Amino acid sequence: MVARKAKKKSKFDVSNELLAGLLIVAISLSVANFFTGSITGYGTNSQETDVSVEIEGVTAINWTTDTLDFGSGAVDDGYDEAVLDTYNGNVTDGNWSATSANLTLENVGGDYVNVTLESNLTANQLIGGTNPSIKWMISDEEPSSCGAIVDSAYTEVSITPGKEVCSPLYHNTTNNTMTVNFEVTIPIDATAGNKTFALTATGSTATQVS
Amino acid sequence: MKLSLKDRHTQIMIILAVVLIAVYFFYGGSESVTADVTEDDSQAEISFAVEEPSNEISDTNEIGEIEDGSTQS
Repeated sequence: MVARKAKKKSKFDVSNELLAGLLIVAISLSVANFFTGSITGYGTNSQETDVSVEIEGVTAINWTTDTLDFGSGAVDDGYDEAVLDTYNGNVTDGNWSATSANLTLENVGGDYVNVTLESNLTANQLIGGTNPSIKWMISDEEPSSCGAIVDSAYTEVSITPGKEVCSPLYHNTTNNTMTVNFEVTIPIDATAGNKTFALTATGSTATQVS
Repeated sequence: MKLSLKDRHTQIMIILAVVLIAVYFFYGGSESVTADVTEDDSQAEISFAVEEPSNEISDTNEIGEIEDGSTQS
């Protein structure tokens, strides 16, 4: 037994010279790093450092319904303009098909978000003619989805930089969806042709109030 | 307590220290930074087509002509 122990111990022996060498290397590296702060065996650029990323939450929104098409039509004879209204689901003085379809935006992330809407075109740019109009109206799709709503009645759309219309849009699965309805006024002298405009929703992380 | 390079525990401590220092230098002493994912965009499209009105009312007030040569407004 004593012989075995002695044998084991002798296997583990390290010479003083080796230990002294290791110590000198370690101390040298420490001193050099203290003054330069740049000795690593990993990076090739002296300014480089490793960065670990920790994502605490996800800000993500998505149009559940992302297209709205009123179809084709014309202003009725004898009228100055036609009005297409998705909230009331009707068309006044025009022969477009009435629709109550609208756009639905959902907070699909884990953060509260403030929602800003922005149109890429004004009514004049899109439709032309005398007094054209494109208005939006914001509402909750699921009850209490928005903390506060701006433009809860029909209001002319905003272009860059847009308008914050829902703050915040909550992320809970039962109240995280808002709706955008449209009222489009097309004058008799509007430029004929296909009309398309884009509506961009931007969700910015909002402070959560507990 | 007297430290001796011949002492087994001292040897273990020194080797462990050297290994730890080597690992630290190899990985460069990384720092932790929290990335803020704070914004997301989504785009929708609205479209319709405008046709020319089918029967435009003429602004011209035409004067009819009767065969006998007289005029009627």
